[in-house]
Amino acid sequence: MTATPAVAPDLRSARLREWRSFARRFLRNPLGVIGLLIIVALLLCALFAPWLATHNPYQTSLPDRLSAPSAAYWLGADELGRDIYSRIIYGSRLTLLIVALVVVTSAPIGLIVGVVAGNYGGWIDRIFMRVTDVFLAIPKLLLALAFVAALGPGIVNAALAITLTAWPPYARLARAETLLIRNADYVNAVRLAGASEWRIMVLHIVPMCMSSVIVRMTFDMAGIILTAAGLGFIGLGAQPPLPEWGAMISTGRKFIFDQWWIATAPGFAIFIVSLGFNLLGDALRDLLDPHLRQRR
Amino acid sequence: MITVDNLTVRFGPATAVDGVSLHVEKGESFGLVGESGSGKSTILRTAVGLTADWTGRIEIDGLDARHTRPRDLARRVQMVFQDPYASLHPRFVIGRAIAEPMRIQGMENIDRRVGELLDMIGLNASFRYRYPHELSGGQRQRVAIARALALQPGVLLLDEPTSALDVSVQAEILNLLADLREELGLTFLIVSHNLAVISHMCDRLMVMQNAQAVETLTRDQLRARAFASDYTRKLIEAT
Repeated sequence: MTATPAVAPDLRSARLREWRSFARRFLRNPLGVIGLLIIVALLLCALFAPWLATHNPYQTSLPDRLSAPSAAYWLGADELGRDIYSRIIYGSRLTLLIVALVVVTSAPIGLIVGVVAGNYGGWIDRIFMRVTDVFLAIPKLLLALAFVAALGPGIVNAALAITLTAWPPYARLARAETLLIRNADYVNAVRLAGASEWRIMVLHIVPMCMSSVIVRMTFDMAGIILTAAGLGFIGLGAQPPLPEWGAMISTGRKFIFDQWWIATAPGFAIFIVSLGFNLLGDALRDLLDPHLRQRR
Repeated sequence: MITVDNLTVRFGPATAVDGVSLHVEKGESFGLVGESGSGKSTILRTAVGLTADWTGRIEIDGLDARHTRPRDLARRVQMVFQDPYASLHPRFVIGRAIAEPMRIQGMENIDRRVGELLDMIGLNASFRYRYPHELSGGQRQRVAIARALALQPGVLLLDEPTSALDVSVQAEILNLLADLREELGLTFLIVSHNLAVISHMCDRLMVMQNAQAVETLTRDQLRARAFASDYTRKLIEAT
């Protein structure tokens, strides 16, 4: 802050000003902007899929099976003659669905477990964190596999399975942050005012954990996409004929030496989207991470 | 107003305060002096319930600190912390920070009170919607004082209220505190290692060393250098 900030007449404009200054600092990071653009492009693809796609993603056309990229089939056609480009566009919806499902479930679970454990300490902390350790000790994909095997394959089950493996890091993170924050003077000050522990956790500690959680979430999204694609690849995620990217690679594998584009195109889509989330996560971490950010 | 009787505080194996007693009259300003680690801040933190393992008796404004609910004690005693950069929630605007204790206590007319408090500490209304990082250290400490006064307590505990501030700002804050004490009839318990601050602000003071009380002096005794112990002499010569 160099110049004295303009006077904010109300809370909303004060918040708006904070956002503007955040956006300005974000725009100074070109890689972060590229990441954001990739994510926005992904969102637009999902939103406008029917207009962007050139074919019906489920329409088979056996005469065109395995055809190379051409004017009719921009990225070629798969083993049933379905347009790969259109399938990738529609697949973005599935990718986003899985990512959203996992994030909206795992982050709150981890946050609650971590904040409660960190704030209360003692045996609550011990029990919560040992449970977290148990989940962390099982290989991610294995746990997800077992879960999907028990519940049956499908998109929602795959998302649930990934959630099961994704929440423990949030709990760890939230607990570490809470241990620092709960003894900060600004929390002591409200404690002195007679605030309940519940109020302290919800109103004072959780908002301070949010920035770390958001950063972690953004990085995690890349991992979630990869895990979802992995589950799709081994046939336990989205089921045919859904145009899920991992499942598309799986079918393309059979033709990878002669018709390489069938597996490459969805692979590239996964790569670009993961890269986008990672770049965005990096930029957000630079801005939000309390350990990197200097006292301003 | 404040009575501390044979207070002992332990942090695990370490004893931070060892059998300290003191008494502060209503309207008086009492100082605690000593080098860092002598246990003076711990007395303050214990009085408001921020340490768990202590023995002895603390009575504030007629309430026994051990058996009073924090919510009730809060209306009698509040504390101002040392570091104004760490004592304001970074995500809350100033008005919200000042309002929070009143919201917790379910008070009425909070909006109007926030305006009055800002006025009382000499910040204009435009500060209400600013974030702490937009304020200077002195301004933040003013806000922390307003927050402490929000519940209209009779006792204010001040933990090194100026040591994190620029020298030029220190006097401003001390004068503000002195004015508020006169205006509101507050009782102060001030911790500081700065004798100039203590002699400016306090009627009486207690010198502490290694968790124990060394001696209690009046301001006149301090100015006349009528010390009973060698340690006090050394401490004062060192500063």
